[in-house]
Amino acid sequence: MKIAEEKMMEKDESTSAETAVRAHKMKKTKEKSKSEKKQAGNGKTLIRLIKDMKVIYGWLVFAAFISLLSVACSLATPEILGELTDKIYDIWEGVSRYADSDIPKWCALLAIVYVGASLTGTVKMMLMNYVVSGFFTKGMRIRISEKIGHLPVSYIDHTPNGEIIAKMDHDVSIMGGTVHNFLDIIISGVMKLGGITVILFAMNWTMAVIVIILVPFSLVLSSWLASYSEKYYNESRKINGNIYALVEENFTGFDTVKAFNLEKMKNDQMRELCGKYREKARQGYFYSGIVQPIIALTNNIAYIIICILGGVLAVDGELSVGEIVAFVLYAKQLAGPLESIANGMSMMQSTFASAKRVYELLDLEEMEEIKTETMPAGKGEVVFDHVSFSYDPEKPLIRDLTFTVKPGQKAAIVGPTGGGKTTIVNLLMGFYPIQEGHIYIDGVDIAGLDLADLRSQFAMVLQDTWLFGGTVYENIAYGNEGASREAVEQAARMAHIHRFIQSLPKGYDTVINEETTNISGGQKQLMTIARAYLANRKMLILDEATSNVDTRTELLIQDTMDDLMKGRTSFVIAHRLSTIVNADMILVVNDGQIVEQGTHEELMKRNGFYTEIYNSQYELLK
Amino acid sequence: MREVIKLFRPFVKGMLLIALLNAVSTLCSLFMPYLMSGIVNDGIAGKNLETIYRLGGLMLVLAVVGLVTALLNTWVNSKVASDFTYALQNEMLQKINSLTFEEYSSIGTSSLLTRTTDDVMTLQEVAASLAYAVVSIPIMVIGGIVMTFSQDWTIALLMFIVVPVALIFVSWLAKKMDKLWDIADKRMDDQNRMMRERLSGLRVIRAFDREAFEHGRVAGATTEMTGSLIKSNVLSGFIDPVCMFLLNIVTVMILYVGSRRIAAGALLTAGDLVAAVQYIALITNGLLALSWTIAWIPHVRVSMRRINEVLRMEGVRQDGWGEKLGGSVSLSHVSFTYPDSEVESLHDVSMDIREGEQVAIIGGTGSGKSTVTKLLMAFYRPDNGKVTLDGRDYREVSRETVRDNLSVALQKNMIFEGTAGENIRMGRPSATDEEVMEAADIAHIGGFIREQKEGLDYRLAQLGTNISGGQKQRFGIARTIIKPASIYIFDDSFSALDYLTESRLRRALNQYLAGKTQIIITQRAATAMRCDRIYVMEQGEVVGSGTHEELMRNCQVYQEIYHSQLGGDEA
Repeated sequence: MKIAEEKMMEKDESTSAETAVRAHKMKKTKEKSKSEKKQAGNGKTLIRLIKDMKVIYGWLVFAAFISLLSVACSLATPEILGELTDKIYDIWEGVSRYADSDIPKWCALLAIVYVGASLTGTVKMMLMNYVVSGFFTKGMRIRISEKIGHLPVSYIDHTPNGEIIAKMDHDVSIMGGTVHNFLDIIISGVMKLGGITVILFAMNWTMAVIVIILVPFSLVLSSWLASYSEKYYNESRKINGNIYALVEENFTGFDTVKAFNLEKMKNDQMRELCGKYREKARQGYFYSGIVQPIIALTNNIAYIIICILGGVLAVDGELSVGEIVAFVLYAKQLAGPLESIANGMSMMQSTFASAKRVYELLDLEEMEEIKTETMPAGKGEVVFDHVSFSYDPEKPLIRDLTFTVKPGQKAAIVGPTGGGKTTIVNLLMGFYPIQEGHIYIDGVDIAGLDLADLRSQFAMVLQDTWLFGGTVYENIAYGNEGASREAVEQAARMAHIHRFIQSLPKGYDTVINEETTNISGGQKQLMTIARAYLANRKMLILDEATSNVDTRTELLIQDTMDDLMKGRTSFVIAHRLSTIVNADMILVVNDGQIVEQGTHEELMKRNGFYTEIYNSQYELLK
Repeated sequence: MREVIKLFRPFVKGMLLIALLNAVSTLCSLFMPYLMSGIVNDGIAGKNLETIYRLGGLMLVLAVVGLVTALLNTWVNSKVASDFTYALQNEMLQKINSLTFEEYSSIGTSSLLTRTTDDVMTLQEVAASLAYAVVSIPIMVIGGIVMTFSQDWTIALLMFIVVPVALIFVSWLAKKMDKLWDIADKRMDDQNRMMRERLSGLRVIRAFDREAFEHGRVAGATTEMTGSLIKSNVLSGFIDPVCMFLLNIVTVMILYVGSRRIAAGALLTAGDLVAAVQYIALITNGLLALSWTIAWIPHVRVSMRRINEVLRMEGVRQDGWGEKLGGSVSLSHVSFTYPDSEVESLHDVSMDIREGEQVAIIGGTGSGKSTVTKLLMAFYRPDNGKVTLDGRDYREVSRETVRDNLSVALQKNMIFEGTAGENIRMGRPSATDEEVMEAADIAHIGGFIREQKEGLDYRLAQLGTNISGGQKQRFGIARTIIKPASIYIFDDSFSALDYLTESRLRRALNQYLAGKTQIIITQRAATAMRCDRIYVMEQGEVVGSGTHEELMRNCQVYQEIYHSQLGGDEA
């Protein structure tokens, strides 16, 4: 599971070369700052984490109280058991009589303490689960989700989805785990450790010293071994990642492997990697496997020493059998808190890393939303006035762009990929803030406009059709909540998708999800066209709006598209030039600039870049 | 489970050795409390220092023997576990690579992926801990009970009541937990899926001002997920305290009953009682380990079953290739339905392609034109009708022979992690650098390769994520044409190229593949029209065939495709 997740993240990370480079750059700067102020950062993160636990402070105090009770119970049991052993020993020796020994009373006391230990342990477990998951991690996740709604498009465009999801899922889990262990470390760990030490010394100095030395020694030894095994484990994990990648590649390209008879080659590659993995896994298993016996040995030695030394002391009458029993039990209990403290410490590093990743997201600058100017009731005139924009200062994407689209006009944007066509749309809808110049809609600079209000002027159909996991009805009515069934069906009819939807087993109530395979990309795009039709906005953006649709179907819906654009200021991006020849204005964009501008006829007359693009589609016919 | 168990067979000897070593080291720890009771009974009570030293020394010997056997055991165990994984991994991949497409798609890519990775890892864990679970734990529990028995049977009887109760409780809990974890996993997937959906639909969501609504959806999913996480965590949190409690109560009862029996003059000694209390601790540990093992069994069973399903598949034996056949291929009255589908993808399709011809197959999405490629490549067998290559029925020649004589550029071009040169050379492993570059140049990717300072050694990332879609297509074309074959199929291979590049590429291609059969599958009329012959497909049937001119006269579907793409005006 883990590997799969990470793999998925990696895949997302490299969806485009550009993103990958950006991510790499970010990583580099991150690494640098990390090494510089790692310690200070950790302190701050810890303080912040503790602050964020505020919502559960009250509960934590309560849980701490219960924890104390549970520690008290577990500290009391060896004492009581020792006492009981002494009494039984005395009876056996014939020193005292059963009737005088109030053994039943002590047994009852022991039972009560055991019940208390189980009860407090269970209550604490339930409490912590409810509190940590129900308030802390859930709250964190909702905060992240909330934050996403306020982040600029640029951040999400340039951050792999998998990374954000990993923060919400995996990183928050890690933080929750540490919060969960917090009490265990502080109360059960420290208190218990202190308590046992004091009791041991109170019982017998010499033996206490031996136990106190031996038990931590075994822990140090085992954590040293564990670091070894971790090294091999990490290496084997890395190879395992490679195996996963190889297998994934092999399976994804199964048809290619078959078509080119590459099975043997792939099997050989696999065998080699698996051989490497075998070696590392074996070493990892060995080193982690010997930890347990070595701990067992040191524990046994402590046990034997207690038995021998205790026995000798008991013969001298300095120690009772009950005390030996108690000693053995305390020594056994000592390992528990030490382990939980060690675990907690080793978890801290990954917690800090996770917490930092989460806080990094929560601290991102949000979009300014104070702008309150609202749209005038204009007709949709759009003016680009010397607009410049770039994602990367070294590579200007849009340079000094100036044009005017009159209300109701159809403006087509054409040009080679990467020339900045889609960027113009991004700027117009305020997804990215422009760096120089102004964009006016009906005479108002959009820089001062309320973004929601600005966007409510547009309906859009994009190349990447987006449908969410709801019904067909909900998807078409998206953004037009409360649209009547009739209106939705009418919109679907206009987009020539009504009949298809009706043919689905549940019609308009069919839920669209990942398993929906009987709806093609073209059909999904037609649904988004219906959505735009229903939205009935003042302006329209069609970014490769029919790219997934069959050319013959495209012809069928041409009327609908024309109808959709009638009276609306529209921006059309299309690589099929037949769809744009009747535009009122064609903007030919290359390298972020408008190289030509005019109607189809004007541009053809010019015999320039547009003519070249236009003619190239007939090149094959020659 | 038979196939998986078969794989365990070579390791039986190793496993037996592990079991033996495990038994020895467990017995060592089992005798410790017994010796201690001796110290109490004979040493302390008898005030005999020598006995104390002797028994203490014996304990030390046991401890050391325990350590040595445990170390040996770990050594053998890690070797067996890693060797077994190695064997299993290789067996799985080889099997999968030999599967037919029917078998392959009956499980599916993502499931096969988890089977070869996650499920294999689960079995690796089984191999690593099997001996512990099967040998050590029972010895610990049963041995503990027996040792108690040997001291006093009434006390042992108590164990017989409590241990089964604990076991029943744990296995009941395990079953429940399994279900709850599944639900929690699903809820977690739900949350992540909604978030992914939201991130990918950012523009639409913001355009419709629906961020608040989407946040509500995600928050709702988070709340649901939290609920089921708490449920499953709390339930699994019960195992430890409940088992502890049950056995602690036994301790109390033992002390109570034991003290009464001692007082009544039974043969029980104080040392025995001390030992019994410690055996309970041992049994508790054993039981807890056992309960986690039980909780784990359903997972193992699922993994085993899933792996077994793969290993049980027949696959195809690779029975030699190398037979060179000519370049004519035909389909006669072929019908075909995909295994997981109810709708026929091809219906009564007949095509006859002669050596050296250049034939186009045109049609929209879902017309069945790519299915034709899959039948030609022998990925699938037709349900009805027959496919022949050079006059030979596909049923009479091996799939490898078919694939040796046909070279295909698939619609979804696979780029493997490796160098540019390696990716092209997959078509012909013996090709020289010059030959590779020649093919690259014809596929219009030579320029790109030269631009890289590593040249042919330029590394392509997995799935070709560091190059564009068009470049992937061109790498695919280069790989296809460098392969020596008699028939070349280009399945939608030119769709990412602009018209100018396509026309240049096709011209070079015709020279390079002169005399070879070419089958070009496309949606574009402009791509099809220059071919010797065109088959027009719609909804799994051939609705027209002939030259461009003929089809423009007598095939309505073709006319519609043509006009929708190239408009009314012919240049």
